[in-house]
Amino acid sequence: MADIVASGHRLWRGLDTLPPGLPTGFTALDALLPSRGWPAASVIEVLTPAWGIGELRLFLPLMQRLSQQGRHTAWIAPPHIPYAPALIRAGISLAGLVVIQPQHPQQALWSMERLLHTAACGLAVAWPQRLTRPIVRRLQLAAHSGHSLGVLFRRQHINPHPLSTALSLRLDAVENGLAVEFLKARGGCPRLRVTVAWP
Amino acid sequence: MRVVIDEHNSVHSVSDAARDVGIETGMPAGTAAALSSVLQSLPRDTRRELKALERAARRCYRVTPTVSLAPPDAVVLEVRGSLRLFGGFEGIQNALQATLTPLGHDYHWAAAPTPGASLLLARCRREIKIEGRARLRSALGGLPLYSLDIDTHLLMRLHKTGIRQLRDLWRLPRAGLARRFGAGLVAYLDRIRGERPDPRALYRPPLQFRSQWELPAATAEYAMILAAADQLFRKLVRFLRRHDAATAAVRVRLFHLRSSFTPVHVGTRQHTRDAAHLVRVFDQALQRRELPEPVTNLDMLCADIRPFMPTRQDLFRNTAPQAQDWQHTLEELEARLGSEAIRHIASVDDHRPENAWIYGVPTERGVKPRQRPLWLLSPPRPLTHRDRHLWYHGYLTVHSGPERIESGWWDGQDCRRDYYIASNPQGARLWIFQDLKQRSDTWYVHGLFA
Repeated sequence: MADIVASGHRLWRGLDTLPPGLPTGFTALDALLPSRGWPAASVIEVLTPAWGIGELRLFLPLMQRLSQQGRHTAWIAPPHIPYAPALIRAGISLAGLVVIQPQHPQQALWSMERLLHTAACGLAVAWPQRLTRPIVRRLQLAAHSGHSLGVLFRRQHINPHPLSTALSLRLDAVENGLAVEFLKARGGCPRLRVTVAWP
Repeated sequence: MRVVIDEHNSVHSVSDAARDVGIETGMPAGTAAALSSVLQSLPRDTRRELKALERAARRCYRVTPTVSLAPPDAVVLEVRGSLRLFGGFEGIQNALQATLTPLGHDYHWAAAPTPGASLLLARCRREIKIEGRARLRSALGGLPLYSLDIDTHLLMRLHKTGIRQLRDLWRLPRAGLARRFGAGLVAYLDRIRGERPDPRALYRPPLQFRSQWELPAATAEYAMILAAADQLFRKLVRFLRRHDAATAAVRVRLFHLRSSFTPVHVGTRQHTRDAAHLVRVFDQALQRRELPEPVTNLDMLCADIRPFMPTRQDLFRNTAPQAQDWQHTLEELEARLGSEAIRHIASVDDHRPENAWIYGVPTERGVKPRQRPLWLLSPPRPLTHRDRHLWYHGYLTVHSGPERIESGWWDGQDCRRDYYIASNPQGARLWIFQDLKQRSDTWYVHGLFA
């Protein structure tokens, strides 16, 4: 099998072509993700039925690791106040964190693009109001050039139209954890479901 | 009617109106207050005094390039070199009066061969001109002892030996004076009399960069304005490099044909001399502005100029450029969105959850080892009751609690609450509390465990 792949020009291994991902901090999730972690240098879409089911908790291990590496995290147009005591408790350095509260939704996306372009910014999480394919494409390019990760949180559940992101997840609350469904995963199978248990 | 009160609680200076009712400098503040019921007393502000002195020094620069400050109240000028230019001493006096009067300060002058002697005479308000060192001793002889710029302890000791005027000091032998009162005093007197050099640090007016750019034709075209600004910023950076300096604030004015001008402020968090970065910040700031009319020319003024401090670059871990990159990105965002849109958060040592954080410089203080939600709702949202159950987008199920938080009685914002963790059918985990200060069953959502 390996020989065939090595000799043939039209054959490749799906998973091998992907750059290694960023560990999510949850073994069950890493095992199912095509890049064995959050896809590096790309944009992720996260759909949730409501705010507050644990959608941020899914990214806390990543934020914690980035703050240890001295890379910055930007929160763009968050729906509520990121609560400092809880962030510190989660091991996230406040010095590496910036909150962007633009007046217009359009500025939020511009800020996100600008921040994703910057190598010093490891992660930009945003709560956009309206997204179009060209905008997502631009964000995708910015994340690629800045080698950063963008996360778009959207409150939408019924009949989702996944965006052209590298990864699109749908979340659901379960007892002491989250059910994660892959609506789209570049280099992997869609419609996989996994349950992430909180530590 | 105003007086300025110094740190010893006595009157430092008086307005004309206050002088008319008999208030004098050196008077205790209480006595001054007793003399007038409408007296306004201000604390002395030495920083503002120094600023005023520097302003005066900058003006004196028109008369001579050799200017030095003698804080708190004097400026020393070397005028010999300017005598011919101004047609004699009187010409210099007239020029000084013309340049200093607009400042609105009273001033006294004196001219002598040494800076020390001029200072003594001017501070004693003897407005005379002394020519030749030989005449100094007798000219200064009549000045009172306390006019000397030496510490009060030494003044008291000299006073006790019967010395009242400088003339008395001149009569004493140098060696004996040095033995009894220290070599410092003798050196000081020598400098006044010109028997020892008295070098003074020259005052240099602060650097400033100003430049204009005329556009070939009035234009509202964005690219044209940006190109002109680019030229100006390049000039500014060349100027900064020549002076080994950097800036954090540049003011650009876009002049129009009819209406006056549109100001564009370029501010950076750190001092820089990176032309490309300054142009980017200008670009973002310009996009926030609406131009009422086409622009005819640009005027740039940069007064915030400091010595350049290169960012330390780590040889092994290449982190410094990244940190600079981050700062530059935030500056661009600030220029485009306004500084209030870019926030940092800090935790504060306070029991009340809503006071346990602020927007500000990130600090991590007083964090309790308790479970806290990642989202805080501000203000807390009231919960409703349905069929005698708590309701927030569905019936709530309480999982843990209560955690009693009782605090703030000292500042009038006291709270007494029982916090619980609950969830609704959508799976949102909520931080809810019952307000125990209110008699009825009042509940709120205060956070989300996102």
